[in-house]
Amino acid sequence: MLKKKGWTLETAALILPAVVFLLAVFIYPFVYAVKLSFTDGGSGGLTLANYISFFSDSVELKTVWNTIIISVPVTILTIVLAVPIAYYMRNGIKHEKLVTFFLMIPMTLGVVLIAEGMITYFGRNGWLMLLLEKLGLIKERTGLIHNYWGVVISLFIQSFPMGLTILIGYTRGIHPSLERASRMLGASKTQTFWRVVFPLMMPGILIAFCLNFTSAFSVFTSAIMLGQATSTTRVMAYSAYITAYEYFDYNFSSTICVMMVIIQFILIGVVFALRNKLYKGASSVGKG
Amino acid sequence: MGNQKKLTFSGIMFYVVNIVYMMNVFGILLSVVVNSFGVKWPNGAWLPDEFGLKWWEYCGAHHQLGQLLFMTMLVTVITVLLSVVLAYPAAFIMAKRQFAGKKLINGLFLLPVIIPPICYGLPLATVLYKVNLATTLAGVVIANMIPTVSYMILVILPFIEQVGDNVEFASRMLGASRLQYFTRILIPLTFPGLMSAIMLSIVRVISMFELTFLVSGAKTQTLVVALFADVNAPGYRPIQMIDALAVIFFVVTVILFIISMKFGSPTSVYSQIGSEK
Amino acid sequence: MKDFNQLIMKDMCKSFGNLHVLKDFNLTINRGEFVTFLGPSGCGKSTALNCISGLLNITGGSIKVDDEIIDDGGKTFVSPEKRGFGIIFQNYALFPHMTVFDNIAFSLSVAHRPKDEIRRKVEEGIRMVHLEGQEHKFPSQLSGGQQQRVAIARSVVMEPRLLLLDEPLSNLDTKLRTEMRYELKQIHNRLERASVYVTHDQSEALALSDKIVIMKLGKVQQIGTPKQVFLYPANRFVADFMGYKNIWDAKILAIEESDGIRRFQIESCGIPFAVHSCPGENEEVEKTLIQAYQKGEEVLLASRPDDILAGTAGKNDMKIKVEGTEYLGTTVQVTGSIKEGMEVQARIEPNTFVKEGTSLSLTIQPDKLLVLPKDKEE
Repeated sequence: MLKKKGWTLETAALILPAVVFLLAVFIYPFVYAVKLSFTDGGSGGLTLANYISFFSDSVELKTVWNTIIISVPVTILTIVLAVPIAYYMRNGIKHEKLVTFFLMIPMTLGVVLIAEGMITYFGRNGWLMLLLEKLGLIKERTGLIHNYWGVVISLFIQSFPMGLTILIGYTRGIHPSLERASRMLGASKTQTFWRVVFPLMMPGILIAFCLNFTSAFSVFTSAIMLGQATSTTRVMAYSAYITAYEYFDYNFSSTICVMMVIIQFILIGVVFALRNKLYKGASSVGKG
Repeated sequence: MGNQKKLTFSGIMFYVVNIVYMMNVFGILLSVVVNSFGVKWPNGAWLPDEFGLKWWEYCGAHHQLGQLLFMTMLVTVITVLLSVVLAYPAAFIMAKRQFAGKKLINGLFLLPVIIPPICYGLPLATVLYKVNLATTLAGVVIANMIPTVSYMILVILPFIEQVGDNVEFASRMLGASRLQYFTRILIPLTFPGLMSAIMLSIVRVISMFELTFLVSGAKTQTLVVALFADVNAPGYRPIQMIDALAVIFFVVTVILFIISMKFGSPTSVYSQIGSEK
Repeated sequence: MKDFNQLIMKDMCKSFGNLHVLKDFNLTINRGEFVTFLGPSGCGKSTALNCISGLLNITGGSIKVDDEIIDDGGKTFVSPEKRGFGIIFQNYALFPHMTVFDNIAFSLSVAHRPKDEIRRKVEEGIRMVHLEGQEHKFPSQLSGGQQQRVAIARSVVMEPRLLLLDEPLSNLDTKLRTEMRYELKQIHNRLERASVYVTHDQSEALALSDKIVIMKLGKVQQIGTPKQVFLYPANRFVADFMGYKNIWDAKILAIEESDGIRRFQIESCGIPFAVHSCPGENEEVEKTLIQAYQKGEEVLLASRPDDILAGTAGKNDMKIKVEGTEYLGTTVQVTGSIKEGMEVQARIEPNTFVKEGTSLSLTIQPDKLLVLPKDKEE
């Protein structure tokens, strides 16, 4: 067949442009940043000082904590809400295209527009507060922006459709005959969900968790626009940015970037180790 | 099972969460539109007292809207076209050829989708400043191409995988050259995939913020960056004026999004990312 | 769960919107019976099975287990897990995240049975389908045949009072299919309960069944023992399905009866044929099938290619023009025509000399010909 092993001229000519491009503008800058993070800003010598100060600086450690305390609840909330909904949508629903369209809009518009809109809508004089006041649910209008909640809400709005989409994909991959088989073997709907559907959704849940966490963990824009980036919602991405662009300390900024990636990789590693442990069988269901 | 119309737990969740979610998203978008047209909106009122184009005029006076829209389109189109040139051949090789180091390259293509944009955007900006490409159109395009190339490979790959190996074999046996195989067989066969990759990427690039923000300058900023700058710029900018700018961005994006929905479901790529790993 | 004596379907209907997939389905399944739903794809056989299982609700009529209604197309509906029926799917539907042992144990474990009982029954099931030593493998590590065995064991350990089989053998290769067919029948006999089997393969149906239900476009065409449906198809569709490939328009010239055998004088395309009915196993069925005909009636005359012989016998002789031959090893399949519009397929001795374009003499014994009613609808 034409599936030749090894590098042919064709393989090289077609794949190298993309590879070289990413090596040059993606890997090289990052390697450069790693080098910077081990360099002393003044003397230019090799040093661990940046990492030492990262781990001894209470502001930076608080920043790591802030990032986690924002991203973890958002991710968990997304998954907890998306799992039953993905399950409900597993066999298709009425007006599915329309529902998908509305769910996809926030993702399409991007963080900046949603955050900008939230300033008006979730603000002290926004419609949401007016509505809650009219319903008697709150005594005084406070506004959900410029604090922790503003950031969490905006991240959830972005994160929910993505999590749901991944989970729907996985749930639809579960052959409907498995559920039928389970029912015919005497399992109730609830038993079927917990013993058959949920375990088979597990790899999807882990992937969704991973991708949603990484996107929430890199929170930057909404922490600035909707939070208090200098205090309660000072997140790692903001810290890296401000260190480079306002204090011009590229070495320490690089350290923060490297730490962000490391923390993230540790998480992905953990999640996938978990996945391999939990799910040994393949996902195929017989043939045909 | 069957067709009993019983309300289940998951059904209730579906309706409650979706309705709450959509109402809020709708509220956000609508309040932006209303606010931009409201001349005066007293505290605690449901609607503005007076509607008018005041803030739109204000917005027009403070921004070079033409330049902004032009730059946004320019960056988007160039980024997407260059990305397709890099991504399509790469996706073909990833789908149809075996070679040493394939897993490594696969990882390389996946990384930009997973790693936070700030983490590679900041170092990239530093490097671009060193080679005097920062704040230029080229710099902005390069930065935006990084996640776009990755994303496109992910979108196109399954479409190329669907084309059977026999098709390539047969076309070669019939005397087609490699180039002819590409132009006469593969590209027409994967055209839907190609189009959906292009359209989805356009929508993504237009609202991609961090990377453009880090490397663009006054002349190369796009709509999203202007929007962010307006909100966070030192000195007071009236929110109604910013809302007017947001409406412009919103309209452009939604039109492109609706067009892109015609070419393919934007949702498919996420399950793809999942299965890739 | 208590065994039943009869499962009764009365005027069972199933429609999806305006699409009527099943119309007035009437059938009684007795304890111990092996019943097969046979028909081409889209005939409603799987729908009928799913209605019995409870995976689909019926939209009219009723299903009763002895005196208990389990679905009446309205208020009463016993959900699938409470019917005590077992099912085996075409794609086996094994749980990919469970081992062979856990798959087989599933029904017992959701019923919260004691651990040692589960172990004992699962081991018994594994022995029954000859899967010793595979307990801790996952379905993906098994061959198609082994997966099929797991599916069987999984349904059998719950001791269902009715076993439903939805084309269980169609994903296996020919050799394995014949083997598994035999084993399925063995298992059915051992369970001493009823089974309903869905297939489009007439040889499977004939080999396994006590009773065959032949269906077409949601309607039952004929219900009978394998021998009845094979020897006395009720109409053209069933005849065709049973391999009567030669079906000609004909007219009855005379009928006479002696020694319990009915003799027809029939004319088809100007050729006279003699037809004898042969005594079968159930006289009543034959009577209703045959006695209805009258002299002068327009009918169909059917025969199977295997029953046509080369040569002449002085009776029922035909001379055909050979149009095509296919060498099949033990026989030669000959296609030809007696005259315009009267095609004949025959399987004859491979040693006979046949060549396309030549003429060939064929004959058929009177008791191998079949009289069928002319189709009312179609």
